[in-house]
Amino acid sequence: MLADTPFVLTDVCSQMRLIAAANLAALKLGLMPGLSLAEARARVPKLAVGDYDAQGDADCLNRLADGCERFTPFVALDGLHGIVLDITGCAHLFGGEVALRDALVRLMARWGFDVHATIASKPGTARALCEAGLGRIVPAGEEESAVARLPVSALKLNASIITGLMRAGLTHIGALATQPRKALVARFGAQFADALDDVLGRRAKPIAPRRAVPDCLAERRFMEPLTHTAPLPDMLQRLAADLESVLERAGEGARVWEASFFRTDGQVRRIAVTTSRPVRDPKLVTRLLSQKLDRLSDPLDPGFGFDVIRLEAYGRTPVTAVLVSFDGDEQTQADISALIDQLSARFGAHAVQSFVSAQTHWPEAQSHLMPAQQAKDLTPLTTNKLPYEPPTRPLRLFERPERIEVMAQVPDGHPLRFRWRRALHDVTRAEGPERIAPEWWKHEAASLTRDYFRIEDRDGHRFWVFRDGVQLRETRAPSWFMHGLFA
Amino acid sequence: MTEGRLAALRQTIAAIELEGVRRPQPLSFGLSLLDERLGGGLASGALHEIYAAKPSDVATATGFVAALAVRSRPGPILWVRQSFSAQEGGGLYGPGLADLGLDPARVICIDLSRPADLLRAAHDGLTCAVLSAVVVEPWGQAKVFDLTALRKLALTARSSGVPAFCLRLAAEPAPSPALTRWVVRAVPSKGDSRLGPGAMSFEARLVLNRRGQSDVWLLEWESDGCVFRHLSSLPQSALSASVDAAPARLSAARRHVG
Repeated sequence: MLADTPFVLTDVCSQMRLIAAANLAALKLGLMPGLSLAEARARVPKLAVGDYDAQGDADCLNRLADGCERFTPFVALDGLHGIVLDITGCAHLFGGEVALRDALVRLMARWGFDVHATIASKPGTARALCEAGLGRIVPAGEEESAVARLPVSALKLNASIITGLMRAGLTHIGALATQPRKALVARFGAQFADALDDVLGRRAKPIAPRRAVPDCLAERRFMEPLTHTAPLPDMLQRLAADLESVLERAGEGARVWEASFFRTDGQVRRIAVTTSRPVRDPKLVTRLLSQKLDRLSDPLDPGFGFDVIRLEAYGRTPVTAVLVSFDGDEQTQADISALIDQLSARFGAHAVQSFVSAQTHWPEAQSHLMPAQQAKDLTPLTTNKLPYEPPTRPLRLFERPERIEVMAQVPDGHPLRFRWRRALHDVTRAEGPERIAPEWWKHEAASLTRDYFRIEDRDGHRFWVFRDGVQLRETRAPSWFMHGLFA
Repeated sequence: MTEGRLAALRQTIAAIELEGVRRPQPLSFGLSLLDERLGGGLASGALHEIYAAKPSDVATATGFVAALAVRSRPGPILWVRQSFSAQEGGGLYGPGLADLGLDPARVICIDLSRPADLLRAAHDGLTCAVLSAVVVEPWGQAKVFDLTALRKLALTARSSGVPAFCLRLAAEPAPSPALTRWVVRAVPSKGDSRLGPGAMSFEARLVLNRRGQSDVWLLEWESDGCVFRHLSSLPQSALSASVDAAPARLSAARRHVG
């Protein structure tokens, strides 16, 4: 049985194989993490050895943290083996702190993990007690008495400070609590005093949650886990309706909607949709989420069932109710936004684009496409074209100008004949040059000055070509390129 | 009198077909010859196909579609294109659209790699009645654009009243339920040659017209007024389907461009 055999995981550290983790049987035999493998094998010949997978451990911890999110959205990782949950305001949903702690421990046991769980009003206190192996609930205000019996090594400081403290006779945290802070700072440094204050609960270092905390959320917990995906849209609509009443009271809408599906085995799957304007209509949100669910390349698998389904809203912004106006402009705008949202949800936000202009005369940068949901306040495009003149810019532009062979008068003449994509063209009309110099303060690669020509060939096709580089001043043998096609 | 009775019969049939469905204004060309042939103009809630005569006419066909979109009612335009089309023939350029008279802020571009997705996006767009036009731009023959798929598009367009333009580049005309089919070819522009290339000039050949006869016209697009004009000054030989291009001599070319 593996539980009885001493089993260690080893990792290479500075060209030596050291024990990274050991099971209970190995620990009892004195094989601690940090011991070299050679030494361990010498002590225990029949040692089972495996490789330490740091990434696997981290992934596992992340999955467990995901699973813990069913208790509170405020979850953070603590070191390599710990998870911190901020359950302020959540405990009553589970019937009190005791019940919450029991539920968490039971859940972890079901997933195959033995945990210590400690609840306290300050994170430092809870962490110190938890790492010492004391899983309990500390009432508010009793942090100091709770940690008084812990040894000073629980403060996680370097060995020299610990030795110093031992020599001074301060072996337990309780003894340190009564010392004046100034003396401790003078003797051991401010970092030590801060660490002590954390553990004693005199100050609370803020926890950064793994994921952004939503502005508001609604969830449903199931006594019997949901094993089919068919009732999901209906469930999402109910959750969206709950959130709608919350948002409506505040007169706000949200732009990012995320649905989380918590499985009984701890796995969490999340689907998010973004809208271009803040919305709160449950039907719209449900439709967008359902479309996304249908289009998942890896369909939602309930496994043994979904325990909890949660809908989170991010990016709350005030939204004015859409009043029916006689000119219908507001409604049109809303319809277009809804279409953009629907297409973005179906094909991806990057596929749906609108034109954005920039204040530059370099052709490639002057106008480009940006995801429509992000493009706001489009500056109107000003055209250089004079009235009653033909277009100065091509309708179709090649992303990469294509090399062409040109016969032209040197040094500054327009093309007379050119070869492009294996076809020879005779130029019948030409206009130019339009000299466009690169913005030297922007372009790192030495772009050359371009002389653009609008040319038309015998068949009536109109092209936009340029000569790259001014003859003799910038380059000896300038090349010619095809950049765009006119209609 | 038969003409009158025929016209009345056509109207009755049209009324039966479009019963219970919105009937928006047709897209008029502003030229009486064209509008009469089309029965008032390009019908709004229908599918129209525009083919580029040769791969080199890609930009001209695109320009024709852009011009039609401008002449449609004001509103946003959905342009669904296949990514390969941008690689082969260049992508839509904002200032170029502006120079043709189409405000690029009106255009919502969808860039997709699979032709099947193009059809679905076009469907979604055609259900939104506030759009002024939906343009679908696949590249090549695109087997998914078969009779059934195009018929579905036509029906969706009819129920919402949004015109659907199918811009077919590098493809041969195939049977389809389109109301009209055009083949567009570039022609030399007119105007003072010393000023360089002129406005967009092209030959628009109406090869399929369910409301009348086929015909061919030489047109020019004036971007300032957003109007089509007849290119009447061009000699008749320019109407030929195959242009027999004799290589110009260098001196003649130099003389022409000045």
